[in-house]
Amino acid sequence: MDFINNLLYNSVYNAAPILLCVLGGIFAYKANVLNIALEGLMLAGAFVSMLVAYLTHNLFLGILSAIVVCLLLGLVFSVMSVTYKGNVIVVGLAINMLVPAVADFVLKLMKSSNINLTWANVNDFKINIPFIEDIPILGSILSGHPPITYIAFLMIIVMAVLMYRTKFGVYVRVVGENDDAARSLGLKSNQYKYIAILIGAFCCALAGINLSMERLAVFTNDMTAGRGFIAIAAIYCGRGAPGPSAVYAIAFGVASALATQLTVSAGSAAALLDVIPYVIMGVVLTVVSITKRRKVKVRGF
Amino acid sequence: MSIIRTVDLTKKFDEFVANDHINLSVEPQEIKCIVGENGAGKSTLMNMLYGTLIPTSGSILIDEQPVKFKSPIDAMNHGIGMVHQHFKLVPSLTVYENILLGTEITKKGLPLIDSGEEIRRVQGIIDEYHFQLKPTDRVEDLSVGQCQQVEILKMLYRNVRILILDEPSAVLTPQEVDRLIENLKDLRKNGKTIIVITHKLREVMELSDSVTVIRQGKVIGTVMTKDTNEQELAQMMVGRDVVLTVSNEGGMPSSDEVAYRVEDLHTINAHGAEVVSGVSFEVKKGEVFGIAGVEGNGQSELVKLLTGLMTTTKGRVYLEGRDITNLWPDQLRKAGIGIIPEDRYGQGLCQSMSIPDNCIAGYWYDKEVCQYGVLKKKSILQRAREYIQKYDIRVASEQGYVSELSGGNAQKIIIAREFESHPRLIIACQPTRGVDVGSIEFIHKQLLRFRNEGYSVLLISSELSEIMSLSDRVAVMYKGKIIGEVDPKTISTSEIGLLMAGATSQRNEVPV
Repeated sequence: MDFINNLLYNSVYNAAPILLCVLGGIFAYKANVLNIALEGLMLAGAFVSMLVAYLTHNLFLGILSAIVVCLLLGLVFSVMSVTYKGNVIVVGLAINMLVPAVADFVLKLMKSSNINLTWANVNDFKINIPFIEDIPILGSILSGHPPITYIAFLMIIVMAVLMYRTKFGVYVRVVGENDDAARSLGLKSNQYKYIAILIGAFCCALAGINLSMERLAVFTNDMTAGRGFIAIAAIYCGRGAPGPSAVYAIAFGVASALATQLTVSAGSAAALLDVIPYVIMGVVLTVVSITKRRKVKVRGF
Repeated sequence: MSIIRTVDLTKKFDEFVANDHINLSVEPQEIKCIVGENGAGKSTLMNMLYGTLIPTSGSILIDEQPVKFKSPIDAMNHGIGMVHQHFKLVPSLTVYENILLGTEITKKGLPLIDSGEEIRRVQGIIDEYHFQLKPTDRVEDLSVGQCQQVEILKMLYRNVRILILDEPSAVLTPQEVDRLIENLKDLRKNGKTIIVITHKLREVMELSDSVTVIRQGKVIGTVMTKDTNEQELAQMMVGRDVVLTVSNEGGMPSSDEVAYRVEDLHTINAHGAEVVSGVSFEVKKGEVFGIAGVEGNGQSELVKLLTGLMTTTKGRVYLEGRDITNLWPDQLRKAGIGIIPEDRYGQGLCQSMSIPDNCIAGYWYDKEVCQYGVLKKKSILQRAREYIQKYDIRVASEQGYVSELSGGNAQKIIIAREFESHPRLIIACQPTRGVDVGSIEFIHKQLLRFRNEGYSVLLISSELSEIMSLSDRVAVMYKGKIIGEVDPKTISTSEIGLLMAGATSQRNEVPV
């Protein structure tokens, strides 16, 4: 029973950062911009929040500066890919490589392998929801998470409303689907692409803060461990629709939790079990592609 | 007083003068047609009136006031709306969302869209102009004719006074064209001024009050419709007498021997929907077999199946008794099929390669031009030279790029390449789309010459007049099926139009 309970709690816990990346990334996807910089942006959020909090002893400043830095990186990505029509893969890769390099450099200067907020207690970040925490089983799964985890799940609804019920959401979809139609009516399509990318950057900042500060109060380099790319996969599998994309993100959370749980009882083979989520995602992607491709009768040359 | 007038409007693209001192004047509440061949400069002119192109010199006056348009928004603010040939609609959105795009109505005090109110307003405007649309339908589910209505409504909702339509009838069935003409005349009654760009002279005669003819970027003349006729307009357009339709009459009768047989062909598209469902027909030797139909009824997929770009789910294809189902394009060419594809630059030519390279594209297995995997540049150039002479292809340089050629000359390269490989059957799909009148005549003559030599042609075209004048027999495709076979010499346009719209005609249907 404990095993299941822990598994489900950890599923929620592990799904949160990917979920945030996915929900932020769907706007760029719908605006027809491939944002492969999600990974780098998330790592930037994790790194900057911890570095600033470490230097200033102020959590709030850490969070704020992480968001600002991520938005700036998002802006760089937008300027280079949207305004100057640079190749998104190259620009995105540059950000993905730049961020860990800078983090590595700073860690070397600090003569440390990680940034550790010794004065902060992660248990203080956890919020217990009244009433819900008293429900047996469900309470222990849903309650007792840090704030951004809750935000991540609330975002599913917020982003769905933003995408389907507001002008902004309609315009982003129009820009992505038929840029000509948007321009013929005077919609500034680049402007919507910028905002779509910046929403992604903002959500990545939150995901990064969640990953390093909220959950562990520790930053180690490369701690994002490919979650940004998993998020891209989830967005593609869900075709950018908030609901289905979120389901894929949560599926990955479950897989991660499973890996963690099995590791506890596995002993020396533990390290090998870390591959579980990636294998599962690979299999899911392959199956999704095969089912989509099976019906295609047009020949590929 | 003119509602819109241009004075010496000129547009240059580098050295090329697309519009040369155009003086055009449109009266309020008239329907003005602007006719000219492809490349005559009609679209350039309209794009300047709509603000998508900025004139090099000259001026535009609206209500005798000079205006300067920097973008379509400026034009729209002056009451000018445009319905483009390629619709600017978003397929995944609904009719009402498309019409209100950019001017959404939000709930009071909330940033949320008020769909209820939007639907009501759109229904109102649909009723006001007697259009047949449902506001909540998705655009991707609409017919082309309905999409066009959405485009027109989009403009009307924005209160335009002057409506410009670019080639509005290009993709419609004859019935839909009639409906469009009615709609436009209704709009004129309601006080709108309409400018239509077209090269279909029959519609010009039915629709317009006055006609302006453009040739090579210059205004050739403006005439009142009631004082002119199709022949005169055609002459003004081309600058010489033209045979309006090349006809296959008087040629050798086709034999009874079957050259090409298609049996119960099926395939599905990427969404799993059956787009070709049970197509069967035979093409005899010395015959042009035409397939007519409104675009999007499975013709494209059928052609892809027959030319090896797509695979079947069921059915067989035979060329002179040999099973050639699902062969690849190179194998089909070796088997004796010439292919003139639908998308000239997508499947027929490679624009970034030279003319000689394009002249052997698809035929590199020919030992004369390629041996041991090495291309023989000299004989390839020699071949290109022959084609250029024999098919009167106008090129600046023999070794130039295909991208430098006009549509007609580019198409002639395909024609030359496919005919000179001496096939037994030519599959010609939209062979004259976007081609000037002179080249159309040439291509039609080539197809008929080929037929009269005893070979077969499978002609797929959405240009009804082309199908009717060239074919010995015509099948009509509707929703992936052949719903009737007719004799083009006896059937009327309205009868075939009904078939194209899906109504099976009693008299001409051939029992299947």
